[in-house]
Amino acid sequence: MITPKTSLSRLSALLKSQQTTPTAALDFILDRIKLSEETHSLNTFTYLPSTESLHELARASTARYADGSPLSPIDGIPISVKANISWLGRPTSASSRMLENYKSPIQADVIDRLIKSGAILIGQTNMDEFGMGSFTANSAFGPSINSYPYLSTTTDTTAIPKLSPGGSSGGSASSVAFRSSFASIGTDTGGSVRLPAAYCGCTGFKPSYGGIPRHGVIPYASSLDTVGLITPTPEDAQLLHTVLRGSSLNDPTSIDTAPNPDPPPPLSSLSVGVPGSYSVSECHPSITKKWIDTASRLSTAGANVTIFDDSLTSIQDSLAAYYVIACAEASSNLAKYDGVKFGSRIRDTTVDFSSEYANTRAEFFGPEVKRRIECGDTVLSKEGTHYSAALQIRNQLREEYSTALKKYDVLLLPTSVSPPISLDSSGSGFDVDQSEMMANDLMTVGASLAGFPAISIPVSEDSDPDFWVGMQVIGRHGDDDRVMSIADQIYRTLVNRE
Amino acid sequence: MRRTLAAFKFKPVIGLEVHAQLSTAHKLFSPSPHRASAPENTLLSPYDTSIPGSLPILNLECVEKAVVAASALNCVLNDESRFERKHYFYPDLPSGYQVTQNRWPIAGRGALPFGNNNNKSSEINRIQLETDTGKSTTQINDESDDIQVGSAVNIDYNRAGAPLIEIVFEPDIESPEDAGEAVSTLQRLLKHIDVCDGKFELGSLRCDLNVSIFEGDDDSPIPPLNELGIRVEVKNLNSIRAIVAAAKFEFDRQVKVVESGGVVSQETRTFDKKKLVSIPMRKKETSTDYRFLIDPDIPPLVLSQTKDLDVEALLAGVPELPEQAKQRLADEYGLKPSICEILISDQIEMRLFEDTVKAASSSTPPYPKHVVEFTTKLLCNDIFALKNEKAGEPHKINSRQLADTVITLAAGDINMKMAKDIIKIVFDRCQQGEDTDVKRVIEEKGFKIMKNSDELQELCQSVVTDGAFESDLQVWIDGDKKLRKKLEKFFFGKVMAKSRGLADAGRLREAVLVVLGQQRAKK
Repeated sequence: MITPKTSLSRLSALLKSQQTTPTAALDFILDRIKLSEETHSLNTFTYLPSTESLHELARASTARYADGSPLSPIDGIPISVKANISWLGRPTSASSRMLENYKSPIQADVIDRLIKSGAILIGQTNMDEFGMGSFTANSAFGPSINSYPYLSTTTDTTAIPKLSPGGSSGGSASSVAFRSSFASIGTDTGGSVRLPAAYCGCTGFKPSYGGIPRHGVIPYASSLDTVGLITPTPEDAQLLHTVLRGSSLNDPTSIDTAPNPDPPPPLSSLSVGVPGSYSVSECHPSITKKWIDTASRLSTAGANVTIFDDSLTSIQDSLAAYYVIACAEASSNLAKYDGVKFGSRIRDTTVDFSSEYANTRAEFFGPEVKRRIECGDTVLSKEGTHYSAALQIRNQLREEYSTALKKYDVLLLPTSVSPPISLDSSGSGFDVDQSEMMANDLMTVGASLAGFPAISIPVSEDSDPDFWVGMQVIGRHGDDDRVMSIADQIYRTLVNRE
Repeated sequence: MRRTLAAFKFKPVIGLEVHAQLSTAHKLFSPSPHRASAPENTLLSPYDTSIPGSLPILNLECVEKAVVAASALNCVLNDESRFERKHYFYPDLPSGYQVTQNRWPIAGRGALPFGNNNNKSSEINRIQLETDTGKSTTQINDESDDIQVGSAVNIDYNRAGAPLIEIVFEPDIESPEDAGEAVSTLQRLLKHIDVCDGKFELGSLRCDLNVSIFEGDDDSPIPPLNELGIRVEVKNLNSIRAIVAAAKFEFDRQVKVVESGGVVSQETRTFDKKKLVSIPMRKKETSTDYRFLIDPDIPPLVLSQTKDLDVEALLAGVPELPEQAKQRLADEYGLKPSICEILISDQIEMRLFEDTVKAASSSTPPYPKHVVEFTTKLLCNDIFALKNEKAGEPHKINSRQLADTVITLAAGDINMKMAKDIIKIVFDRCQQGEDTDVKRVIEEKGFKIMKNSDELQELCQSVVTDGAFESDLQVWIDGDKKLRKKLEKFFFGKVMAKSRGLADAGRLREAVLVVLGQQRAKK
């Protein structure tokens, strides 16, 4: 009854009508995890709890359904979380050797809310170290593999291309695509939920900044970090959002986004803005083609689609501004890792403390993390002017997004510039061109800098070789519910999946 | 007129930076308490040791104290202020940065009057809210700021994140003694408004100095900043004495350098309070780049828009400042300056004094002199002495109890000795949690002055006619004036003893004379 195509909302309905049980759902998931990790070596998970403890949780949930008193629509549903979300007493490594043996003494608000909703946390997913990367290639656990191609019926798995799942929440997206979890909680700083969701043919939702509390999320760049959701469909994201949304006393930057009691406007009264300034030469032809195709199909379906070239003029600078701000905050946020209070340490009493710090940090941070810390230190130095310039661009971009979103209900643009890279011939890692990797974030950093809600949705049928193209729907700040429900309509209009 | 070299001399210019730990229940950004006395590393929330994912939650009580301090120091409050991260690596700094207010402090421009009749003043540049660091409990090399290689370092993070205000003064103080007086005035002020306990010895108050010199005679004004000599900072001064000594030492040192043809170098020094000398710190502050960053985890603090923060009510509740209170006590109650000084050092006792005098006086000011006098005596002598025996523990005597005692005393129904006894009894009972009524204590103890002349005469009669004193009576009758006086005193003492000290002294003296006179007449 539960198949690799069952969505989260479908499973929720099956559980509610007692056509299946949380125990059955868990058994299904444990089989999928075995297949993904042992048979295909997709390297999706960094930590799995004992199956006994999971079965115990599933049994309790099964009893609640039998009793007619499930805790929430996601009670008993197996969900995974990214490795940078603090899970009390469990390893929370952020895929860094720096936190190799670290067990978190705190519980993230999102984990708390999931547990109170009865969700079954089935494991932690692989990521780029501290969220720094776009391919889940910068992980102390080694790279994750995109599971999407493994969903086809081909029996010869050696012929399947080994693609990146995107990043930094690559393990989450690959896991959801493979249904080794029905949803995964990721984090999105500059596209880290949306990009992997697109590459793995899933839905990835980044809320308005603060829409889901950050408390317990190991920070990368605090003013950009958001907790995001990766699910099979936009409808699933809506369902999961209902139990995770809302401000928390533990996070002074968290907010309550507007609930949207009204039914979403029908497509015929929807105005969709297509920002032409995002049509850059680096854009892969398949992406441009799907973008045009999506826009024209929405137009055919009755939506009022407008291509506009004015207003969004800061996008060329936005990428640079994003990296300046993200690196500056990262260098500050990662200053705490010195081995003294927690985490890995090279203990050496023959040198002074600053040398010990240097040795510890040199040893346990990966190369990309070190690069970004150095970049951040530089832009924040007394002589630096880049940081204040970046803040100005950020403000201007936010203004531009606001202006455009006064004219249009939502903006439509692709999630990535290029397709997922392949594992190199040696099979040990990905061929990553760092500047190309950064350019790939062009499509996603705008909504991050502006703090606006954005959702990446799949626009291809199952068998499409260009399955990795995702489209972003971006809406007004605080309008998260509406953005998701509009994305849901667009998805239903475009995609006819089983 | 030709100026001679001898007419010129060097003068110091001193600027203060004072860190005051706020006397709040909780740390600036975490719910942990902060106390100097707690065992090591027992007052920790996740944020205090920078556990990844923990976030700062601004404690409004700290904002309130900073606002009160700013108001008491005549500073301009900034409606919007921001918290920033100041980065440097040190083991007692858990997150690798201190949260402070560098470019957008909570308060700007103000002034601290000090000296006799407030004839002096130091301008305040700003007040900023910031977090304290932890403490390295291991011995740190005296001569430098560095922890010695090879030594084990123990860190106590209890203090990490405790709330501080840093008060930055302009360089405008003209002598080491004035610097000491300014800090001592500030110490009293902060204690008085309950912002900081002012205890240097516990590190609640810490002071840095900057000293520069200029050439001029006694009347020369301080030249503008850019014409002053190089400023040298002296850090970590933890007593008024150390401040004065360090400023003196630094002034003398700079004068010697300049007089011997040298140039004062810009540096940061630390003061050795045993040897009374300052030593350069190895790390040059000027070379440190703190890479200031607006803390992205803390929204800007906008006083007018902060929920549960009522700045107006707060400012209305700011207690009277010590100097004002002193003046008012002298004016309204006619108190001596020394008594005023004692009373203003403790808000609660000052209120008790005022409430008592008001309750014990039937009229409006000016208050009856003896009421003020009795209240002062019982409070400052007896209650404070009893309090000291209890190691300064707050007492529980209220103004009703003290006023009842004063009223009874003023009416002549009891005497001072009884009043003192009453206060002791009430003090002890209150300490044990009993709600004690003064009138009941008086009844219980039979404290009642005998004022009735007939009664007193009767008592005298019984003593004077007691056969045991017959010869004394005869001596009085026969004696000269001097002898008579002596015997009157003698009989007075005997009767007083017989009354168990309850007789009204004045009336008793009268009664003794009357009865003795009667006896002489009889004879």
